[in-house]
Amino acid sequence: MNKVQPLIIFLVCLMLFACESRFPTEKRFWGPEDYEKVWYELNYKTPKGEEYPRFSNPETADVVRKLVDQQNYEVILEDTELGLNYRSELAQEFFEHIKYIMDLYTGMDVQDKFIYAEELAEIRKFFLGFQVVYFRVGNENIASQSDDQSTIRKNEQTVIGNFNRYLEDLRREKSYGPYAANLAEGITKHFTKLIETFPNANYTGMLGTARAILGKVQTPEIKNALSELIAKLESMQSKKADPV
Amino acid sequence: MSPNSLYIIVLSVFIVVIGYDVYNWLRDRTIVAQEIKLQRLKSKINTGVLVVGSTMLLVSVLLHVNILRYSSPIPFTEIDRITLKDFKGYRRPYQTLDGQRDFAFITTTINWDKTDKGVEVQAAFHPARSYVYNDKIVDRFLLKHELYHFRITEIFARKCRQQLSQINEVPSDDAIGEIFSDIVESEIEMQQRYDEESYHGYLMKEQKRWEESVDSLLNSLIEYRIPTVRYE
Repeated sequence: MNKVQPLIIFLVCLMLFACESRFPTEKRFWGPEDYEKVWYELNYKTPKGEEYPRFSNPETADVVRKLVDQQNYEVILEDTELGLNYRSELAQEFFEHIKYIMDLYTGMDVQDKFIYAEELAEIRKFFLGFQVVYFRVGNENIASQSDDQSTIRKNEQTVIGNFNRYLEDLRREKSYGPYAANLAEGITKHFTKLIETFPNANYTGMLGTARAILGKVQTPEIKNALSELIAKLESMQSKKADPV
Repeated sequence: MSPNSLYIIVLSVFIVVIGYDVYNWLRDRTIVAQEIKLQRLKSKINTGVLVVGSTMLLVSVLLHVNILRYSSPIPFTEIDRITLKDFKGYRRPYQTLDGQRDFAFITTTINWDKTDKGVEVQAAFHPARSYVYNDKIVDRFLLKHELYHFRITEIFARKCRQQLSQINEVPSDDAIGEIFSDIVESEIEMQQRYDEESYHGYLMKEQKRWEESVDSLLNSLIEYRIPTVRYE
C-alpha cells in the first residue's frame, strides 16, 4: 500500500485546499448575508497590516466593485412582487452591514488622509443611494400598516439628517486627496433623488448646511455640485412660500 | 461528452488495467513475475488501484444517480405531487451556484417510446438525479422555480408531439431522433434563459414574468397534452 498512501494523501489535501473564496464575487447580486460575510472577513479574517479590497489592486478590485453595485439592493428592494414587510426587513439588514463595512474603510494614515480614499468615496455615495430606497421602503411599509404620519415624517427628517452628514464630511475633502472630486457625484445624483423621493420633507437645515459648506470647500466639482443643490433647494423653498 | 460516456471510459480503463489480475486472483492463480519482490509490489499496487478505482466509480455513479435512494422518474401528469423531499440526488463536491451552496437543481428529460400504433412522448422528472441542499427544507418558492423547469420540459414534449402528429404514419427512429435533437437543443436554451433572467428565482418579478409566459405556452399547446401520438 506504500504507493497508494501518497495518492490518498494527495486527494485528501486537494479536497481540503479546494476551499471557498473569501468573498462571494461569483454571485451576480449580493444580499445582506453577503455583505455580512464581507464585513466578517474584513473585520476578523484580515490580518493586521493586510489591505482591504481596493480598486487599485487587480486581485481585489472586483470585491469593491461588487460592494458598491447598487443593483445588489435594487433587485430586491424595488421588486414589487416581494412583500413590503419582507423588503423592509431586508433593507434593515442591508443598512447595518453596509454601514459596518463603511466604518472599516474610514481608517486614516499618520497624515490624516483616508487610507482607502477612493473606496470610501464610492461606498459613501453608494450608501447615500441605498438610504433613499431604504427609507422609502420603510415609510411605505409603515403607511401600509397604519396612519402613523408622525413616524413617516420623522424618518424623512432622519434620512435628510444622514445626507447632511455627507455634506458635513465634505469639510474633510483634503483627507480624500485626489478622490475628493468623486464626492460631487453623490450630491448631483443622490441628493436630487432624495428630493424627488421626499418632496414634502423639510430641507431648511440642508440648505443651511450646504451654504455653510460651500464657503469652506476648495474642490471645484464639489463647489459646482453644492451650488446646484442650493439653487434647487432655494427654488423649492420659494415655491412653498409662494405656491402660485 | 455525457457523464455516462465518462463512466464507461473509466470502467473500461479499470477493467483493462487490473481486470486480468482480478481474474487470476479469482482463479487462485499467482501472477508470474521474475522476482517475488516485484510480484508483491505489483500485487499491492493493483489492490490499491482496485480499492481507489472502485470507490471512485461508486462515488461518480452516486453523484450522477443516487442509487441508494432511487425513485423512478415522475411523469409530468403527476407534477402536483412533487415536493422538495423528492429531490434525492447528491451534489457534486464543491459544486456551487455562483459560489452559493444553498441551491437546488432539477433533472428532467423528454423520453419517447415507439409502438406499432403510435409514439409516446413523456416529460419526466428524475428524483435520484435532482438535488436540494437540505432535504428537510420547505421552501415553496424554491420548489416553484424548479418545477417551472419541469413545465418548460413539458412545453417541448408537447412541441415534439405536435410535430409527430403532423406525420401521417408511424415515423422511423431516425425521424423521431431528428425531431428530438432540435427540440432538446431549444429546450436547453430556454432552460438556461429562464435561470439567467430570473437568476434562479432570486428575482421575483422576473420569476413571475416567466411563470406567466410558461403557463401561457403550455396552454397554447394544450391539445398535445396527452403523451401518446396515435397513428391510424
